[in-house]
Amino acid sequence: MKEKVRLEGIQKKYISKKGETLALKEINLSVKENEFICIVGPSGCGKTTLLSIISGLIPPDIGKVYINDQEVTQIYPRVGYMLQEDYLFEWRTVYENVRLGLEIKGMLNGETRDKIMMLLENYGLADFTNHYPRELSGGMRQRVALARTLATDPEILLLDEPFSSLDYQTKLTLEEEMHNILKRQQKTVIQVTHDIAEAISMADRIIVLSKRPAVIKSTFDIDFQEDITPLQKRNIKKFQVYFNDIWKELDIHV
Amino acid sequence: MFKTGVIYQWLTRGAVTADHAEFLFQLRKRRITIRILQIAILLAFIGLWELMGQMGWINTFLMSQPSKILNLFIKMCQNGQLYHHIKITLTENIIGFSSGTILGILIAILLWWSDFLFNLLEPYLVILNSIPKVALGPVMIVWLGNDSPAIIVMALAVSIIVTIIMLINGFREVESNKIKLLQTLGATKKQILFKVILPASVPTIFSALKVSVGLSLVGTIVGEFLVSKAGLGYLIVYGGQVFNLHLVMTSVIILCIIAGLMYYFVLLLEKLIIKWR
Repeated sequence: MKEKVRLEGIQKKYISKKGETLALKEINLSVKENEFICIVGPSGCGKTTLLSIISGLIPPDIGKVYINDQEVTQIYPRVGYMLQEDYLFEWRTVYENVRLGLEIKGMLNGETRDKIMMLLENYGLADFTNHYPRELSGGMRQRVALARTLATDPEILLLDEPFSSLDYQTKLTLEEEMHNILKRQQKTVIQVTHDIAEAISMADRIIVLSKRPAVIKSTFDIDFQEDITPLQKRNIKKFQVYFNDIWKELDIHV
Repeated sequence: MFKTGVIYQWLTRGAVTADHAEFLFQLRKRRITIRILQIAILLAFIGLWELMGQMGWINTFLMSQPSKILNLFIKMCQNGQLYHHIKITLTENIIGFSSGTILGILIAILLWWSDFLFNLLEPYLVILNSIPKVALGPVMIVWLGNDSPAIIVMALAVSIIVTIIMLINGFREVESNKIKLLQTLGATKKQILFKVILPASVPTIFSALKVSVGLSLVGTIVGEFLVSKAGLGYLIVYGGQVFNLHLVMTSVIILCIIAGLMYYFVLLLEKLIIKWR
């Protein structure tokens, strides 16, 4: 399959008054089209930094990012980035929030407006189009955030712990929904998480990062053969095997 | 005691259950009691003042008296004097207040746009904020003459600094991840300003308005104390000089009403604009 994203020798350090911290030592990675990648690693290992570099939000010190074989030097337009929290604008209605990306990119027209309404319909938000965010539950807010991300029709999705602020049940439900939506829409996804179970149930491939300064410690191809949903995967024996392997790799000392 | 009857019915309108009715009843009873007491305090104050004047317990030449204030008020309304002075004070104040607010917002935007400029000018802003701006009154008179422009600039000077400081702090406290979100969508700095910074700061803008609406009135009145030939500040000073305390009190009361109305107007505007709360 075609290569979608390529990272070549990415290094990034943070310089502050106190000195400098090497966040990413050397990251090499190739992501295929329509692949779902999860990046796991100990907290503070530079996962979010890596996503920001892939999106073009911050430049790497050394190394290069390629999307569709083109070097990324600024924000890549066909990338959708979902942050840890929904960050809905409380002064905008659901519809106006979903519209945000199209507004910024100057892509608001009759066709995209219809598309927003369709997205809202699909995510069970049709009755809440004109509601303000404070009137929504956590799960619904996150669905609005997903709709906002998908409204600009990105080829690549960067998800930064998108479920970490949700309660367990909502999280499982949303994982299920997200999996269905993204499989159907054929998106390339790079998701960062600290939740190993979530990674196994969602991803085609899991990348384990080391402690800071981060390098890729190991890679796991997640293969459940049949086309089953994240929730079903959690009940299969293999799931536990993957879990234990990755747990050992993460080498977490509490 | 009013568990039945029209009053109870009215106080519990919209109730769905008996307990809900009781809850609404208590809530509304409390609200109405407070309102009645507020009016009662005012009436008692005026009544006592009037009574003490009538009985000769206070010297009405020095303390004035509600009935005399009312008489003067009616007389000044009839000869159009009052309208003239109120108009002048209001005009000066509204011009000073709105230009102070608009300029303040523009300067705050400029300081948000350039971090360097903000760091450069911050200490000056802090100093300007802490000096009493009315101390600059004599300077304004020398520069702008003995008339309305000096007063307007006083009103502006008093309100602008606090507007700038409150707004720039508000702008800088907008959640950085909301800005990051826009950046990931490829937003320009101008888009960030108009899509996040300004809309997120609307509540801050109103807090600043509520503070500066009162402050600019202080600037206007002090300005009129110093220079003017007309306006409520002028009436107060003039009344004091000729020992016409009725005139002083009348002007002060009108000033109270104007200040109250302007504050209320800002509140009303806030309610109309911020619908998402």
